[in-house]
Amino acid sequence: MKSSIHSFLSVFNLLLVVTFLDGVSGTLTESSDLTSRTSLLLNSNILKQFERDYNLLFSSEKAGNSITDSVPSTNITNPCKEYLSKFSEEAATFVKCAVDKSRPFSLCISCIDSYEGARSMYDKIEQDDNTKGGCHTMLLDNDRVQVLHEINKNMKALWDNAVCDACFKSNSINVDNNGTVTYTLSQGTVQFLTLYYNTSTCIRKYLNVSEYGGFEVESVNSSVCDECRTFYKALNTHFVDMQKASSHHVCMDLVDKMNHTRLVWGSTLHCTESYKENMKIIAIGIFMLFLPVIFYVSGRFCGQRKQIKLMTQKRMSKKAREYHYGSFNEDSESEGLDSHSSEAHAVVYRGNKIILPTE
Amino acid sequence: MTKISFDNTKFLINLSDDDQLSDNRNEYDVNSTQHDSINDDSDQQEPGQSEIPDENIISGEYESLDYDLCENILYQSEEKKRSRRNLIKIEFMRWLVMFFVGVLTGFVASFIDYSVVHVSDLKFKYVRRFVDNCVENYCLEQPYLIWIGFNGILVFVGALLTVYLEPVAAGSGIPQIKCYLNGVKVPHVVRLQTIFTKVVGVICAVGGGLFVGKEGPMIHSGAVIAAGISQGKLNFFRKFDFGIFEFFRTDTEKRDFVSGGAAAGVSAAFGAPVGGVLFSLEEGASFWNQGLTWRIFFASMISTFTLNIVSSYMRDHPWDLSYPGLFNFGSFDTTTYSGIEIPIFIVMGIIGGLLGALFNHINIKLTKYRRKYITNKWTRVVEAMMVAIMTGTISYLFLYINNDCKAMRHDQEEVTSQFFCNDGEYSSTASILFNTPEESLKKLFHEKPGTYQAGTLAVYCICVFLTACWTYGLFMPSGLFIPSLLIGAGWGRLFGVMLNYMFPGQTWIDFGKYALIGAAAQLGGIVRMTISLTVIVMEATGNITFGLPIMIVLMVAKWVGDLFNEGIYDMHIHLQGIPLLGWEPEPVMSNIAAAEVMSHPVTVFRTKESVGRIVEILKHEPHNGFPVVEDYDPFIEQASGMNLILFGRCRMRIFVIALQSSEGGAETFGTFQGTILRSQLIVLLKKKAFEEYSDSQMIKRSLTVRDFREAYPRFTPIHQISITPQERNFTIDLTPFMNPAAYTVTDVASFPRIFKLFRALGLRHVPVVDKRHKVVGIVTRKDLARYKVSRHFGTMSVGEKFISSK
Repeated sequence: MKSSIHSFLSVFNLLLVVTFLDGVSGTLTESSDLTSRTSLLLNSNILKQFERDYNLLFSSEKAGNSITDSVPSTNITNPCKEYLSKFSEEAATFVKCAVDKSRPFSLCISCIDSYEGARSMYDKIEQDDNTKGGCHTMLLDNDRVQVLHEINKNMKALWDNAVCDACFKSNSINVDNNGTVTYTLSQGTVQFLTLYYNTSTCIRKYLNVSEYGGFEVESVNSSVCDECRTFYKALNTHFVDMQKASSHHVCMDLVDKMNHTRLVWGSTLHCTESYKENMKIIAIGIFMLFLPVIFYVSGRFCGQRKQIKLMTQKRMSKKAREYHYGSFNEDSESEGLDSHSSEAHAVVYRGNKIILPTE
Repeated sequence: MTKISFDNTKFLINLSDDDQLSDNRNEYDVNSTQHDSINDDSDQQEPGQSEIPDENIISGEYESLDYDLCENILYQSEEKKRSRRNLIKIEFMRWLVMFFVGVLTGFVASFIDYSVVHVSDLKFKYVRRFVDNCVENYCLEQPYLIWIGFNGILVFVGALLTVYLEPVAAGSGIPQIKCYLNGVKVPHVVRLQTIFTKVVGVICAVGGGLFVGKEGPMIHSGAVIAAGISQGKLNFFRKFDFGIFEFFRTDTEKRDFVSGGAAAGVSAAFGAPVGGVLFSLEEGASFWNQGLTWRIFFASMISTFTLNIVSSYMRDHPWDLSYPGLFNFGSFDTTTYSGIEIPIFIVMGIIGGLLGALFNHINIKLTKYRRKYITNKWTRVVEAMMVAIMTGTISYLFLYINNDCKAMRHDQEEVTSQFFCNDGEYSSTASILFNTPEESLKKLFHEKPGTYQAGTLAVYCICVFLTACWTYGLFMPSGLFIPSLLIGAGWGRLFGVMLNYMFPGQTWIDFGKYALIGAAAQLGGIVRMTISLTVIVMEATGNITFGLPIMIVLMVAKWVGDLFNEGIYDMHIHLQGIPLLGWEPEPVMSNIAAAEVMSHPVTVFRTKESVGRIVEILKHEPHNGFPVVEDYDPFIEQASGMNLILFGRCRMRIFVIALQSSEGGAETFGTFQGTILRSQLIVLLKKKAFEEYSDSQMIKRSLTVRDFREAYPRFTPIHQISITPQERNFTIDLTPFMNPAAYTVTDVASFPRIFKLFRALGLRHVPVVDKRHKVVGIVTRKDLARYKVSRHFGTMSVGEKFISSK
């Protein structure tokens, strides 16, 4: 078993080497991702050969010592390179911001600057077609992986998934030429944040706030419920209204704050009011459960039973059959006939054996 | 069992009392008399006293469809005149009708779907709002009362319609359609008021919180639509006759279209066009007809397509046709299985079969009780309402007691209720109970692991099992697919949870997958369908790789279930006494000959028959088909009929009718010439095609097949045709109108042979002739269906059923 696996692996390696070498002479983009995986398997000669070829393709400069050093740069013009570095800066800021603000969730409001910056930069690259600097073709259309496009797509997916635009007033987000982002929070968001501030300050008096936004219970006394209920209710009602108004497309920043507050309110502080001690339900329920019993029992005694009239079936009498019928009958004994026809429905089969009932 | 013997006739009628009958149910014998005095009261038994179980009585009210063509001279001359152009036109019309059947079925299905969703939404929105409010304010009985009030009122409307307007619309409709496609004319089954009751009723039933589905009623609706469109007229409003599709006014054509309509219904209900076609073939078509099947498939496809378009508009994605079907099970794209799991699936199949058999057993007991004691119209309405209220009560109490809280995810508040849970959590119990059955089913299939606790699932499963069992058979349009699937999905998911306890950390345990398998097993165990069900489930999940497990599970469930009892549809069919012919004759019947199967004294007409005799016979005999003979004098037969000796009542419950056959042998009824139908005779009487009139030749020549089709499907009853005393002495020549090429069998033909003839050709009557081609008897569907084979611990026995009069 083990040896077979070994042999399989070695064949596999060989294959990889072969494909790799094919790739070198053929399309580079196809095989470049193989480099890291297969480099250990290759002897240094092949590696050197590969580096030379790679660099020859992309630059006139003398090849460096390793692949990583040999960044092809000469055929990228300066404005495009600038776009690239600006976009990378903004995108990196956004990713950092998004990760930092993921718990407690405040991605939308905290990271809008970098998001919008990166997005506008991407837009600029896209608009920079051949009539201008031609950076669109240079940066976006030149390879299969399309790093910029993918990163932009991911950022947008994250943004849309969190329904971030709902946090801001519609059309209030603007990016000027210098990359400065201006925006206005929507009316509902502002109000929500105020209410949230009220509620959390109220609750905070009774709780420690841990680093990641979770609350740690210090001492819960029931007074917290009474004291903060009005704030909490106001917040909750406002949130529900927002949900209704936007058909459940509320910015995730707010949803998360609300969820969190609710959890604290319910699970940590035990302030949820629900009263299960309601005998009326049980009483009505049990009363209802007796209804069918009454119905069916009374049906048993009072129900009018339908009378069905049976039809007299017209059948030939056994006698007649015996005397008159069929080619069998005329030739065969009447006894055989008996079992053949009229007793047929009384024939009982038990397993394979046929037992004829005796008269 | 009491056997009473008379000198030269052995035993005739033995009707014993309750205990004895149930003991030797299979040995009773109604080998009865020769006389045909239907109106003679003393001839009839009163089963009210002797207590014959319902499944042992074939109801006389069901008749056969005339699937076989009547190839009389008129028909032949019409066929001869037919031009190529005419043939193309008819073929084109067939496709056109199928197209409209598909479109209309799609629209009706969409309408049902739309209404059900909105009515339920309205109800649950109210209830949820009250619950959320009342949890804090000590008023939890309010949402409860609102809930059961809503249920009660809706179901009241539905039951009222069903009971008073059209009782045949009750139940799923699949048994009725099955019978229709089998060749039984179930009264009112394809009428306009039936579809109205069905559609409104099913909306009320699902909206009223009963554990029912809308799929069965959709299939029935499709069938009604097909029957309606193909006729090109509305009998309900007598003036609506478009005159088109006149050629299709025969049972043959209508039945073919109905099979297309049923397929379109299935395909609209499940988004399963292939499943629909197979359903039609499995349940209905007697023999494979390539052209018809192709048209049926067309109707199915069109129906799914229409439905998709309407759904796409309803969900604000116009012309985005990726919503296949009203109810599909959601896509299980990630579900995979390994061969090792197949034994597990088999075990689930066994469970499904056992639970299915149990379901059927309980339901059939209940149905018998209902047939016996819940016979008043108003009690039926009350019962339906009561079940609706009880369903609400059970759900609410279940919610009240079981508090399964789960942390709220992202943003699902719109469809959940908090109930007793803390803020920030939702009640997962409420999420399956505050929903239409379909939505609950999808939740069971697709919710993440850990959403439902084992306890919740178990209790839910039991509740649905009992209520669904209680619900089916009420006077409400109610499908059985969804409740069966719900039960199965419940225990299937539970099964998955159990497996997870046993093998913690295994990645192959996917709750959704087991829920699906469980659902299929339960459904298979209850309805015992095979090919079409497999394909429907496959199509509804959009997953072909999962075909084999589903097939295995359905197969095992059917086998296990069949050990105990029949499928629920068949049980209900037998209970209603519908003379359904199965696929094959039972294996032990081959020693029964035609002479025993047939009805013996046959009422026949001579080729030249007097009007008076025709009128008398049509008035006094319920039969629909008569052999036409020569060399026969009916008045001698009547004289010999007087030989019947009637004994009065001996003891309370035993009637003995003995007879002495006249000359020690049975009589024959002339040389067979052909058969003629009641409907044809009535048309002839109406048109007064009497030989004695001077213009009789003219009348006869002007009569065409069209005249016979005109009155279809409701022929004037004989009593409404006025015949003067003078006309009674006239004669009619039946030769040009009878079917001269009718199928006959000889008196020694075996039961299986006749059975196959009936089943494959859709016959209605088969005259039995002797060696000299003399008519000695006639076999009808009821003569065949009255034999019943029962199996009991390795013993098989053949018994006969009774036939009730109309």
